[in-house]
Amino acid sequence: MAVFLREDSRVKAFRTLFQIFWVAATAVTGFRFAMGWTRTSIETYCPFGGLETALSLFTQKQFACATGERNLALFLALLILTLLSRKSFCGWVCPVGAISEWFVLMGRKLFSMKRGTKKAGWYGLQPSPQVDGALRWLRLPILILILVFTYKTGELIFRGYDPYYILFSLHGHDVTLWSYGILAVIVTGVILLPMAWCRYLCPLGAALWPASALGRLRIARNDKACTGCRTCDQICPQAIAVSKVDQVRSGECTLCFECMENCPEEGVLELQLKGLER
Amino acid sequence: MKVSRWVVPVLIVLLIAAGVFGAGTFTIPSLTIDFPTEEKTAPESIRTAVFVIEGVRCVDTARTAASALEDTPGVIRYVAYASRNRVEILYDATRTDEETLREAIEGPVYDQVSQEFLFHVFKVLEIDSPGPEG
Repeated sequence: MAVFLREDSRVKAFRTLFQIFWVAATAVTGFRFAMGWTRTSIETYCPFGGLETALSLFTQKQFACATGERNLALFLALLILTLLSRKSFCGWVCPVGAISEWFVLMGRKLFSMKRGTKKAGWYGLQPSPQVDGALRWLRLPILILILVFTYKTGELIFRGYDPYYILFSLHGHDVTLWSYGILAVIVTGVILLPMAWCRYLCPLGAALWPASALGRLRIARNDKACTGCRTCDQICPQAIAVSKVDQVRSGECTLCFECMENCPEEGVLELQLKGLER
Repeated sequence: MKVSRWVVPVLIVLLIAAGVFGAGTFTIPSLTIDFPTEEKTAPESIRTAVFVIEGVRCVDTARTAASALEDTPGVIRYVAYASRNRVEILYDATRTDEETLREAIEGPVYDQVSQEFLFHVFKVLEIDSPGPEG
């Protein structure tokens, strides 16, 4: 039936299925490891592990803790992917990003039902662009602390606080009561402030930001055809002001295409491949 | 230049596949320990034992497993690949053998934290050693 749908709807449906696939694959891997049916843990597939181990590799020529070749290779692949298609990993693959988005969808539905409107929009707390921009810098000290302490101790010190690991390891190594407390705080944060983890706390998001800002695939806006309804601004999970720019250059864009799919006008927003120009 | 949105999932699949399969093309150890040996070992008597060990999952556990070999004569070098639970041991075949190494690893290990001997910490799941020529 999908062939009868518009490209917008087909891409949207495919992205949702893609996200469900990665969440399910991660959950199955975590379950199989917890049951002792496989020796491959979910950590093996975490590209952030590749970054965490980078200092050890550079200085000691060996991996830190449980990281290995796959973490490193996946991180390098992710870096190339980000240079090409921005933070598409966050919007299409990351299980924590997917679950956060599902919370946003639920929140929107509840909000719309309450207000009796079908218009897409935000719910929950909405910090001003200045506060939002300042809060996003929180990710940087978190990233630096994790990298420094992982290097100093040789342990993956972030493991017990990482929502990916807490959610999918099924009470894995280093997961304590504190971990569940932190997870509860993160979930509450995501409900009150949409995509709070990704926007303000995710260390991988901070690490990818510079490469993402240089990403060659960009959403471009045709100013002449745009009516200025600002639906794109309201729908963007990363709170990017799409209607104010001719090209989305923000390093936060995950190429989720929510703005394009919800734009009421034809041909206003399109995906473009840029050359080497800024 | 305008491009289709389908290019994004295609790039993701290609690069994740490249990452997963590319990881199999190189190996870097998690831990390498050279054991002090007083006697010279003839090159023809050097063998490699390769074990996949349950319990070796990080650098710390790999180091603990190595400590179990400290009293075993003939061990030359210990290399661990923690993410694969894999350990390679270079040994002098005139002084020890694969079975002795296996027994040492599966035997009791001294835990620095509790200052006690712990039993059944490691279990050799697979032996993947190359032949005498390897």
